[in-house]
Amino acid sequence: MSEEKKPMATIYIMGKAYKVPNTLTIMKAIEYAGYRFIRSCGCRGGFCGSCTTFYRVKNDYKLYVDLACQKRVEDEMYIVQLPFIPAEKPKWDLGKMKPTTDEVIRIFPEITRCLSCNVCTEACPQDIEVMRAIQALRRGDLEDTVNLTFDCISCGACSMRCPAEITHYQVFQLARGLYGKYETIPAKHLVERVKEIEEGSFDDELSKLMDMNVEKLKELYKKREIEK
Amino acid sequence: MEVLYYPGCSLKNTYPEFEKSTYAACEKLGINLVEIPEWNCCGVVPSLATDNVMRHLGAVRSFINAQEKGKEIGTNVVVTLCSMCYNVLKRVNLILKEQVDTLKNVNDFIDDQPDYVPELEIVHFLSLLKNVGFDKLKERIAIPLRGLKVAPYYSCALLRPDRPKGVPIDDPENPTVIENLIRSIGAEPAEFPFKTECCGNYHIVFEPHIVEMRTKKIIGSARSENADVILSPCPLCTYNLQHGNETLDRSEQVPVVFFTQLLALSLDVKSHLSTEIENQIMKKIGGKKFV
Repeated sequence: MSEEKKPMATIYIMGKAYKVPNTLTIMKAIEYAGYRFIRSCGCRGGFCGSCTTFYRVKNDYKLYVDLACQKRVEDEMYIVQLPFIPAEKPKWDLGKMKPTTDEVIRIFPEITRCLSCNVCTEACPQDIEVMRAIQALRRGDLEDTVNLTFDCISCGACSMRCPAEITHYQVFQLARGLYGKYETIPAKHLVERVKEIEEGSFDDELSKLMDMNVEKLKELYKKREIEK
Repeated sequence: MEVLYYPGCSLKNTYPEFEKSTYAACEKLGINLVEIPEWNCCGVVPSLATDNVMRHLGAVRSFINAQEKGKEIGTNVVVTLCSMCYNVLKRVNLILKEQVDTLKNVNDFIDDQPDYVPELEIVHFLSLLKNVGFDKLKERIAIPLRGLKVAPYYSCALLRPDRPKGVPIDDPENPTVIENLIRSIGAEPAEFPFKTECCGNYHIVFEPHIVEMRTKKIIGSARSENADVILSPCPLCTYNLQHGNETLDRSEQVPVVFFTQLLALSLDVKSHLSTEIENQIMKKIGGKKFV
């Protein structure tokens, strides 16, 4: 009954109307309406990029994109979630590539079709300047691309809106991979740790964990040391 | 002289020697090229339909950045080197100058940048040299390339289409601007019937045999006129002509160089030619190896 007093919003989940408290996030509102997430829900903290949600609001022609776990519902909101961005994940071997635009174009030739319409940027829930990052790559400025896309969570909203059919988030993953491998100084501690792993320093402890039963694992997890 | 400069993707990725030789020559000639900050891809071969505004956005975004930078340095002249970029930028700019509705349309669409006021002038580097004056250029030449026979190759994008009016940098049927450049740097232009012949363009992607057929004809014609090099203003033509060379015997090949590379060589600055080609040229003109 107490909820009745709260201001409510009407939202349309795939066309069907529900009244939900207007303080909820889209994700909470969908659960409030009785749905149970089996896709389009991950970290609930705005990091994983799973809950990409497209919506319109009444009397507004614009199509908006947000993360369901971050965006509060609005009255008369028409919602649909994307459980998956349809795109092949091309394979590449960073070790056999060079940190150049031509190498990126070899795997993603469609970046040359960019029209500079900037619709990708408008779609980004992370406020990344997606078009600028693609154009930086066209100019051969890998560093600029990497810096502009550091906050990308690969939700793929840009790629669903692009008239040139670019899968920007994958392009940026490749760009950051190439830049990280060839243009930055390797972190010393990382090099050392990889060497330790390769030498098998952690094999014993790992196999101990692998043999442990679930209950014991849970107990261990609860008691774990948390870094400060 | 300070001018805005639009490089284009080919110069930044595939043919840096085109850009580097231009910078070297410009420094010697007192031309300061100011690269447009965050220029966008020109759009390449935009639809010929002038009402397909979406295809013009890349060019317009670059114009806006150029316009803002131009206010700082006090110029409205944008120089391009790549003939394809020249064609696209020139055409879009002319359309925006002529069609008020189209201009309003793109300015309304691009709501994240200042409006474009179509006051820029898009100029190809060859036209800039022509405006400076080939006679004046001649006076600055340190190493005249005497005895070198050069086949001028024009590339379609500098000459066609004449729509909107004002795109070609010269007479489309019988251009002479590259010949004039060749004379001013002390070399001799080859009378060359295929100087405006199409290289096969983007057929290189799916039908390379078309490009091979055409470029063999072009190279063969230059060779029959005893040309030592073919001079190209276009990255794609250069790519295709080099592809044609690769299908020919070594004795039948004619090296392809960018016009700015010979210009730089004659101005006694770094030409960014391959050592082999530079040595060939120096031998031909009876000069010493140039470092």
